[in-house]
Amino acid sequence: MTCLGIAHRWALPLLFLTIFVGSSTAMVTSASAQKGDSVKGEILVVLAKEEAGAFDEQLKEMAALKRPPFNIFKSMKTLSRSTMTMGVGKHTEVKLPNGRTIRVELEKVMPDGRYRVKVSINKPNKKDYLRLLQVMAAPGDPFFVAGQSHDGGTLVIGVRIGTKDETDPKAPDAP
Amino acid sequence: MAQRIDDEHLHRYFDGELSLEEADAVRRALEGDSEAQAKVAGLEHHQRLLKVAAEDLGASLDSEALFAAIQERIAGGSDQEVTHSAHPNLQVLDGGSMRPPVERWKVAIPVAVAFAAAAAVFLSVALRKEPASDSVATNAQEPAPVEAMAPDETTTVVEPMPGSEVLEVDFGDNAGTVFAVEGSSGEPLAVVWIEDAMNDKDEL
Repeated sequence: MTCLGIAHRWALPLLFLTIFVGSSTAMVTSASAQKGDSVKGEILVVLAKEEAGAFDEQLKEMAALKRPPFNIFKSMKTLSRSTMTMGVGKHTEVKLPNGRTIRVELEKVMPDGRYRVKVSINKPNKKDYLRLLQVMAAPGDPFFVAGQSHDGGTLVIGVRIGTKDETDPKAPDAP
Repeated sequence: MAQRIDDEHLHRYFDGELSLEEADAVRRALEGDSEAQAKVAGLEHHQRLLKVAAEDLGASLDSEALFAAIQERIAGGSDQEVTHSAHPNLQVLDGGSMRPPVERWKVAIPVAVAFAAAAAVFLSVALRKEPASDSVATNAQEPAPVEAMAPDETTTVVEPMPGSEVLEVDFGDNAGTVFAVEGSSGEPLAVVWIEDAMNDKDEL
């Protein structure tokens, strides 16, 4: 039996095996992408002031806002809380009280379940306040963008993508 | 003194492969070369031995029967029968490549069917989806958690690293800093602090 004869005998089975593996990989990839197609998120806008004043009860539960440098603020007030449904490659825009707009885009759902998010803050026809911010966040764990001046205080923006496990007994730092 | 003859020319002369001129030259050279003459005598002796052996071998063959078998083979008789009967010590070995195409398909088709069945089973499992919500919530209700598929006994769930971290930041013309604060579970939460020294008039 020649080498060519051996190759001919296994050509068809190998061809079908290749097609099967290829289609399986494509299906797994598409299935993974579909998981991130619909993700709940939240954008919290807080006005923080150094002067003593009212402190939002819900914000008191957020341990992060009690730590430096946020602990310099003696009063915090929730200006807006926006929930959103995000998809991979899709963005959400929320208007800020100072006229700027924050844009949050879900770039990718990572294999370990974390979310890669892109954020920018700007005002139309104005210089970008925050040209680009790319963050990797675990489900339900927020990140903060702070420093904008407004109404005698400082805006603290908290962004959260996804939710923690409902069975997690620890209080989440959800905005 | 006669010119020495090299072995190649000697053999070609003996086999009658030289031109007339070359053969005359070799013949004249042989007259004075006793060593070459001895070589020619050896070649003649060797030729006689081969002839005797061939005649002896040929005497044992039935040339008429062999020729008849060849004619029958040409006419479309069985190769194995003709060959085997004429030469009982020979046997035909199947090289495999001469197998009729229909026998290869007998192997390929069941294999293809098996793979197609496996692919169909995998498709039916993989494409089974949970119903997805299609409304955009704008109130303050706690959103329904988006959970991954419940792990079964054969899958391994990779827990995501807790907290958040900054991968890239571009402050543009502003000054800023990146740091982390500790969450309630000790996880690091990214904070981007941007100096907002400009007001609207200073912007473009």
